[in-house]
Amino acid sequence: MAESARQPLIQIEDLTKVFYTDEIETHALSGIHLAITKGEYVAMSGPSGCGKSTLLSIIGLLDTPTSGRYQLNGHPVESLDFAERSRIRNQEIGFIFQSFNLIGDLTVYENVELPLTYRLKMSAADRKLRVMEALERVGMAHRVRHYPSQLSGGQQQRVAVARALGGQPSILLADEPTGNLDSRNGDAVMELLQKLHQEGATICMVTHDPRFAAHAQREVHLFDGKVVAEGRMQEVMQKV
Amino acid sequence: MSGITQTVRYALRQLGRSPGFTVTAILTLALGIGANVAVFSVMNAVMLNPSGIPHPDRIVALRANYSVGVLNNISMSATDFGDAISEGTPLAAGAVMNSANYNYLAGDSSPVRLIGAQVSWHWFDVFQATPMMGRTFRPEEDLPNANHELVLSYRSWKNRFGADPNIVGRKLNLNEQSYEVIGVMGPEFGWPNQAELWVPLGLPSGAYTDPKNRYNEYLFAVGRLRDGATVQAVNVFLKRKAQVSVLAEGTASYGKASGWGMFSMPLNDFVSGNLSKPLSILLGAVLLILLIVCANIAGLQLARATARQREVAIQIALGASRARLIRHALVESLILAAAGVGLGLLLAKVAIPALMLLAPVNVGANIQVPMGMDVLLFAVAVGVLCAVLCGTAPAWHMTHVRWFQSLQESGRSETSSRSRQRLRSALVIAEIATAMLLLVGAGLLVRSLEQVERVETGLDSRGVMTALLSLPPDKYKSNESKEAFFSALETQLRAQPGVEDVAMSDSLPFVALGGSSSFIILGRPVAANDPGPHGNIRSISPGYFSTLRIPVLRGRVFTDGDRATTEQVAVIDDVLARQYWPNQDPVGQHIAFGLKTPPITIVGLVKHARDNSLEADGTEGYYLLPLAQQPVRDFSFAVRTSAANPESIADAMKAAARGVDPNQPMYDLKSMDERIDASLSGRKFLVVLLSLFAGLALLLAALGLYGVITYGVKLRMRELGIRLALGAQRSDVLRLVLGQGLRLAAAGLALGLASVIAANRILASLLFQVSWFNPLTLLATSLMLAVTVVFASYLPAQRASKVDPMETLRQE
Repeated sequence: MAESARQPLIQIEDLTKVFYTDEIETHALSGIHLAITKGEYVAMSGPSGCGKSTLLSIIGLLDTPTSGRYQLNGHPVESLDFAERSRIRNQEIGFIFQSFNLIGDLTVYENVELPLTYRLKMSAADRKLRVMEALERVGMAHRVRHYPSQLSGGQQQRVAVARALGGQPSILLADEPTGNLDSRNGDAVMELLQKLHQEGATICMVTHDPRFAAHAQREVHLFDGKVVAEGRMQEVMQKV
Repeated sequence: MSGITQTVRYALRQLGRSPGFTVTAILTLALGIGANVAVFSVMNAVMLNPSGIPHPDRIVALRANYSVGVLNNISMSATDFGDAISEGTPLAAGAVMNSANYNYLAGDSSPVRLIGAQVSWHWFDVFQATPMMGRTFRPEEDLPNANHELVLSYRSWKNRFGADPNIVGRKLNLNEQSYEVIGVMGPEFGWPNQAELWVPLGLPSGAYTDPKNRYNEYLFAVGRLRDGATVQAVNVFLKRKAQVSVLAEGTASYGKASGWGMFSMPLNDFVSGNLSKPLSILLGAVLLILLIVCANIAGLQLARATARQREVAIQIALGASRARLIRHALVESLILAAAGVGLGLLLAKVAIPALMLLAPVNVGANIQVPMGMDVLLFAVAVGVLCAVLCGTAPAWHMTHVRWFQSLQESGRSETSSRSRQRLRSALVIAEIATAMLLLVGAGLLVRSLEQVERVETGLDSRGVMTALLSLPPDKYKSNESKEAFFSALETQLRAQPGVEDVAMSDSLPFVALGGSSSFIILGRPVAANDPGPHGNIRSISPGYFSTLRIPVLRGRVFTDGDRATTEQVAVIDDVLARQYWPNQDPVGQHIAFGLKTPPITIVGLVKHARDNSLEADGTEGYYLLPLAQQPVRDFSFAVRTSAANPESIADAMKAAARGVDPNQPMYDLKSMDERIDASLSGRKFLVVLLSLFAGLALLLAALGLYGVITYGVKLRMRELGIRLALGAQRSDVLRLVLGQGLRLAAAGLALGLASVIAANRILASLLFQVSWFNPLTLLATSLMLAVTVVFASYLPAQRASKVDPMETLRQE
């Protein structure tokens, strides 16, 4: 336990990401060093186009870095193939998107169950247990038969959180989770994330709203693809 | 007006913006409309409006029938015809025709055979046909020994006489007699449709009233209805005339005993005969293809409607009425349909000759298939139907946009797109079901054809070459001269290298020139109401059974010793034996044509051989007489050869005929296998076309499915990205999309099976020794469809599996 506490869950060293379009090189990320330990709540902030979403995509194994090292749970993951990245993403990472990304044709229950259906060895009974547990944690167990279009934005995001939690991932990655919500629902989602963090969840959240970033233990501020400040909210604000 | 112009301009601009869609839609519409126009044109020419006959609905065929026996629709006798046009008839004009062949000798070239028709002088008046040059017959030319005039058909004038403008008045040597050309018919008239020339029938006027001719039915009779008269009125008149005739025959009336009668039927029905069902089925098949085409285009239009949802929402927000939007959508469809009609007509123009090449001889021979006003009207009607079918669903969907939601599109709601996708899926299910129905139909017909081809003919056709020859009556008047000719010809033929055996007959099997006749069995009295025995009659040479290898069951066959002066003999087949001598030995029995004619001794019994059809064998048996005792002028002969290809002796056969009489051409040289094969041409025509249409339906259904799956993938791109982001493997996505295709296929197959069950009666009526419920065919069809569906779904499925989740989510 002590060993795992010392070992960062996410360890990124000298990571770069370059996009090539029409012979133009765009350095989205340059020399990123970042470590996130288990149980930590990190907010990534910065102006639009600073590279925070790109970094989150690489952390979430949706994208691969151009160079640098990335270890997840002590295993190098920067050069895995698509299938292996999919498997790890399914088991280790829970995504919460700005626009919820629920599937309109699936019920609340089916949406939450969806990532679990990609785990070959999981029985239907186990899936049901996990789904109901996740929905109860976000307070949406009473809406299992509803479709996303029948829910409010805040409720949809809570279902999305339940979907992320259902797989019992090592880390929750939230990309502007309040971006499509009004302030009341936004606050409710932030409270939910806060509660999950208190229950032990590791969270990495991208936000440009300092109010929401303040919920995190640590804030990483990016600018022009580089980490320009890192630490407690107030320290970062001062540095920025 | 400016509103319409604006709508058309707007629609053209919209179509121009989607060139891929526009071209695809026009091409598929052209394919569907072209197929319909082509089949309709043939049907129109063959069934609805036989070529060259103005107002064919006013022309009736006059027929005779016998309710006792199998002769329910036969030619008329001259006496019958005389009754049909007698006083009080509802016919404005009537005429009769007898087929005739003429050996034409032009200068020092080889003689050729011309197909002719001997007609009574009113023939052209009945059809209201006027000559292009010269004139037609006068009453005084339609008399015995005065009938040496002829009218040429346009085709014959053009092909045989180089379109000679001075042909009228020219003398032609036909059957070694001189005939004067008095006229040339225009290209629009050709009836009967194989005739190259018409000559006067020249029957004595008394022949039309002589009761002795009553049951000698060999004339094809036609009549034109008086204004206001109906076919029913003609039938009532003919029935009354028949009753009078039977009464006049007294108590021993043959007409009464045999159930003889006369009737009329529309000429179109007579011409189409058993073709009406296959042609109707083909028209039904192409209409189904048209529906598939429309479903495909409606599907594409629905996809476009989704893409234009926002644009339509803006129009509604700006005050566009629903009617205006519907008009826009329908005008687009009308423009597509109009282009489809134009291109379809061009395609039909190309397809019709190909169709006629495939058609059986009785459909294709010399039939002109003009694309007249009726065909154009049909094409326009089909175009309008297409516009409505293709445009209605998209127009409805487009005008039921949740416009406020569309304007506020946040990407959260895909409900309307999904409902369109459901409609498109339903269309594809219907397409697959239709393709299955056509494929099962084609599959069952192929199996039926296989069954028909397995039918035993009762003879050995391998290595047998056949040909026809007609002797001119004026030169070969006496039986002795005819006998001398065929005896010399047989000798010549037997002398040819490779010839093993030679047979001659008035009609060989699968030549279909023979007739039937009543006879009496000596020593067996006929009951008062019994018309007596009746059978198919043939005159044959001694080598007939050995050449065709028809097994002899009992007794003997004819020999050279059976001469005109020796005992009259006959050989019968086992069908006739079972009919009239059940459980008896017919050999040694005597038959005759009447009490005053010499008795004929049955000397042999042979196995039955099919005569002209592998599918339907007549129920009547055959009695065969020696050619020496029943000489004929028109005969066919068979030569068995040791050559691998029997056709290789064709030239030698022609040379042999020339060696006997250089002026008598041999014609219609075909191997027996070819004749048997030709007897299946009607069925093959249906099999080939229905298979072609089924293949087209399968292709179109596959295209429709491909479109739906591709569009479905496009719609679900975000969902697929989410799935992949959540950890789905590429194979999961591949399975997901393929599964969608397979689910549609399963629904289509189920609906297809239901439609097969619903259409079982129609299918069963076309089949031969095959049940409509044929598990093998159903399984093979389902498998073929399943494989096609997998192919159609695989490409979009593979593309879907290659979705980059990162890219998809970034596009939010």
